Amino acid sequence: MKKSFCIFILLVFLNFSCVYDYDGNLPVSESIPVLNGILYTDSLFSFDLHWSNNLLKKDFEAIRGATVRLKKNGEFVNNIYNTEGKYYLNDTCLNGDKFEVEIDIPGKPTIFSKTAIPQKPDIQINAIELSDEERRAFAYNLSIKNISDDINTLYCFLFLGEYLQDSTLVWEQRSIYCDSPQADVFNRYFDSWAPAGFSYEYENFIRFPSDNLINNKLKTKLAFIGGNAAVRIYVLAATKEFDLYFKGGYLQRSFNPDINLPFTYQPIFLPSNIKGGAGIFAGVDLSLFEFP
Amino acid sequence: MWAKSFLFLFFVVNVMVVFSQKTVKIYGVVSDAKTDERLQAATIKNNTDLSNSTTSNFYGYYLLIVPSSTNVNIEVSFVGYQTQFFYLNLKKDTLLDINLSPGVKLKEFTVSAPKTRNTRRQIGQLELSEDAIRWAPAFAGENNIMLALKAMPGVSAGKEGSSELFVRGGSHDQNLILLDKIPVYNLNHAFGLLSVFNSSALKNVSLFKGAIPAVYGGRLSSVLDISVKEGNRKKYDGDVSISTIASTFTVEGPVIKDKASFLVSARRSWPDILIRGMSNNNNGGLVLGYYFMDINAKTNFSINKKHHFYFSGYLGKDMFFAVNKEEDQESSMNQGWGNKMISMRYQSISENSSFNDVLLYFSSYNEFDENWINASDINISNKNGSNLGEFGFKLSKEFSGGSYVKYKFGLNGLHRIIQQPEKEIEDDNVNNQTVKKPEVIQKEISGYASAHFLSGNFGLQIGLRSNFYNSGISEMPLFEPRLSFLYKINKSFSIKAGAMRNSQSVFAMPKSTLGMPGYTWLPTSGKVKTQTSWQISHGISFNRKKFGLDVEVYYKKLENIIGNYMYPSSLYQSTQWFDIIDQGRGKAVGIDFLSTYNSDEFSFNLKYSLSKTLHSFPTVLNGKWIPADYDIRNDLVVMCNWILQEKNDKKKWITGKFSAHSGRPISMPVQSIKSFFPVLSNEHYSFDFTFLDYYRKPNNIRLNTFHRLDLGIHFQKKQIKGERTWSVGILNVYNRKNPYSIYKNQSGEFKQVVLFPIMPFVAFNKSF
Repeated sequence: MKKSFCIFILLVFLNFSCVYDYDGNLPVSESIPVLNGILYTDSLFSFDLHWSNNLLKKDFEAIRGATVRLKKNGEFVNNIYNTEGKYYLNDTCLNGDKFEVEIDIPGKPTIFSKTAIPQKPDIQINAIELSDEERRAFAYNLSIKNISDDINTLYCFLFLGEYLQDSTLVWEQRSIYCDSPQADVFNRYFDSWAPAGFSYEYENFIRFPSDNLINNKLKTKLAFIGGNAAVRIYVLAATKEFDLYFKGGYLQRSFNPDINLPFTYQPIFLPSNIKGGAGIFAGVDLSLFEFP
Repeated sequence: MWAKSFLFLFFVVNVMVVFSQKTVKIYGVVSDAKTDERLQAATIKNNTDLSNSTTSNFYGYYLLIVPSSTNVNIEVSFVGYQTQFFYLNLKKDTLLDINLSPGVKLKEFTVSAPKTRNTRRQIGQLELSEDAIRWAPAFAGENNIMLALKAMPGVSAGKEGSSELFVRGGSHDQNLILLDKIPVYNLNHAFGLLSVFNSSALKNVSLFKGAIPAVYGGRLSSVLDISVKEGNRKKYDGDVSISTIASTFTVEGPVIKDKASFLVSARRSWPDILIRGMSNNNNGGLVLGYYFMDINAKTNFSINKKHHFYFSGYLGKDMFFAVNKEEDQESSMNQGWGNKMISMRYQSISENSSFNDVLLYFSSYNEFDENWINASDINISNKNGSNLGEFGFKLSKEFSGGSYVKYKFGLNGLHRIIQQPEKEIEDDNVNNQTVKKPEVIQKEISGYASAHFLSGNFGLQIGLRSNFYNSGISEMPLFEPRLSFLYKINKSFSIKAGAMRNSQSVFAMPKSTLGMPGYTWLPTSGKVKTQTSWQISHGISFNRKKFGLDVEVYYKKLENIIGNYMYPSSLYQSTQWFDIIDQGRGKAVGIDFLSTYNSDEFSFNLKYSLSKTLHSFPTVLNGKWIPADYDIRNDLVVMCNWILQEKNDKKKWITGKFSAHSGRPISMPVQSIKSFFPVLSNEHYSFDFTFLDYYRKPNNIRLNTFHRLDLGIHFQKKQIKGERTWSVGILNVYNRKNPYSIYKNQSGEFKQVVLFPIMPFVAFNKSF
């Protein structure tokens, strides 16, 4: 409904508003170092370093040979390797691990950041029957409890695997249907063609902020429309720094004047936890559920 | 320092009182002879002593002190009315109510300051005539008082088409908006494209942007004092207006002739009624719409010439709605906001001729968005909202201290309840949840005293206001000195100066819900400090025949101002507002020009402001000064009115408005940065997250220079009862593509939104 609602308002304003190519000057600035390090539970510790680029460019030069000092749980670790701007440690990230990183690049201020990997919540996802004669739709019960205080938000992603004619399995991201009042509504749309028992479609993912949860528990139903050769559901437990950066980045990139009202556009300053540069250094806990 | 200066000036004024001769008082109210509507700012002048004059106050009350047992010639004048003369020789205080008859109307259709050429103009004060609002070219033909105010010097143009006012470097929430002295917390209909004030019901509009009198307080930057008509006490009349988006009707008349009257004015947008009429959703389907409405109602009653009662009310509302009915379920989504106000006023003139005013009021603002679904197996509702309610009283007394001195004293109190943004979720399948923050209660008591000295070429107002806030806001009373000075060098030329301090205990935070803009009012309490400001200003005025020029310079300093430059509200849930509050400081400096020319056929008004407004927040570039969102350096508006034909019962005239100003500052990214995409291993995504935008600082670039020409033509015909007027016109005549905002699309290209290309309008008005 939100989409229809926005389209209605847009039509009203389109009577007198127009969109043109920007004909003013673009601001210029020198390149800055950008650190991207998402630390997943049970994965290799790694991050990458790149230079930023001109506003209209999408390719980024790697920063090689930076001096990295890393502290894990308060103690320095030395075995940092790097190749083509990717820096990694031969060590696996575990729930509760704390990291601090300092990076020296000649001619630039020292980069500093720190994060921790949140505890794993107790997650259960079960397929359930969905009687929908009009659509090929599937549903799941999602239950999450033991959500620790270091988790700011839970994200839920769904991917659908379908076989091509040559028997290759291809994974596609799908919108998720969910009617939980505990979800953040910012990417929610009313869908009059939703699966039976559902009304709201979440574009790309669902965000459940922890302050929407009751007694730190979440119980809801999810659904999608499409084939069911294979389904992957990810639940990502995010720290506050990841949540703000990810939602900020998504808001930046998802603004679409064909759907959103052009005059509601707001510049999004990415809330970064990198001092001396840009980017993100954040721990997350990721749980994967595969069906069938 | 300020306290000493204040005491010294107070002493000087009182010494002058002591040496005055034996006198009598002439007092009463000045009103319109046809309607009994009271006239503000009429001039009452003693022609036998040119240094002795006064003006009627907001309620038409005046007090003039003249020598007893002496022949005096009193002249009473007001623009658009026939001047009256009284030849008096009085031995005792006398009540004299004056009724002025409408006469030859001067063609003052735009900003007029002063309203009469003989009135002394206080520094920083401007008045707007009814015609300036009513006949200016306007969006959809629906006149907008806020756009008319933006044609005044010192009022920044802000965003194109928006109703928010930015006065001398102040933000939109730093203006005290009063409707019949009751604070108004929401100005916007239709997201600011229109204002909540229905011009059919308005009588006076005064803007104080510097040297604000001590009677006003509670906001940092300006006071917009709007009064509603009282209602015709002589006969029934009214008018009906239809624009391309709304209809308005106003009716007024006597309840008891010459004793009591009423006024009701209502306005409602009508496109949603058409949409609802055309869509039959009884059988299901989606219905979408938007409407706004407002109602002004007022009644008054005079017990006798000295005792008057007034009751007034206002209701305004905006609502977006979407209702979807299907066979097995029904859902709805609504977003709305609105104001409610109600007041009771008692005015009296005491035996000693002092003027007393008692006002009790309630004012509220609420905003919400909600959606719900009802079906056989699901019942869910989700509601977010906030509200503000204010109960208050205002007591004031105005009396004479001699021929040249008037005193004003008053006491104001308020009890404000602010429900911070809250979220209520109900689900039959899950426990209900409410994220509710406690109500914040603010109590304020303010006392003020001011002395107004007026003699010949010299005018002085000194005042002191002190605000006592309840604990948690400010432990100590805040003192606010006010000073206004004027000296007339000769018949045409005068100089003036003023200074003021102000404080503010509430602020408006922008919010974005369901992709729609809006704001919510929040308290300065706990860790959020009370905002304060100082302003000094100086100026000159020149008036000769049909030409007028007014120039003022000012400097303003603001402390503890509230902003959130780094994090847009959409990044947070509205209930987490306190996370994005940032307090800093601001400064503004500028020079305001206002030039006017008024002849019988042609009038014009030129406003030019050169100004600079900077903000500094600890979280933004370690406190470096950055341009404020509404920092518009050069701002020019020319308005003109040309009567093409005026004979018999027909009148035809053209109104025009040309605006040009520097581009507004906006935030643009400076670099493109690599993102951490893919988020999850090597899945295929529906959105591109490979690159993001990096912003270095807010407001780092300006939009292109803005300019636009609006023209309107009006055809008026007198009929047996009243007049009918057709107005047609074009906004943005030469289709200038003024950018409203810049955004980066999903392909990484920068685009600019133009909100107002060339646009016609038509409106119809019929008075009866």
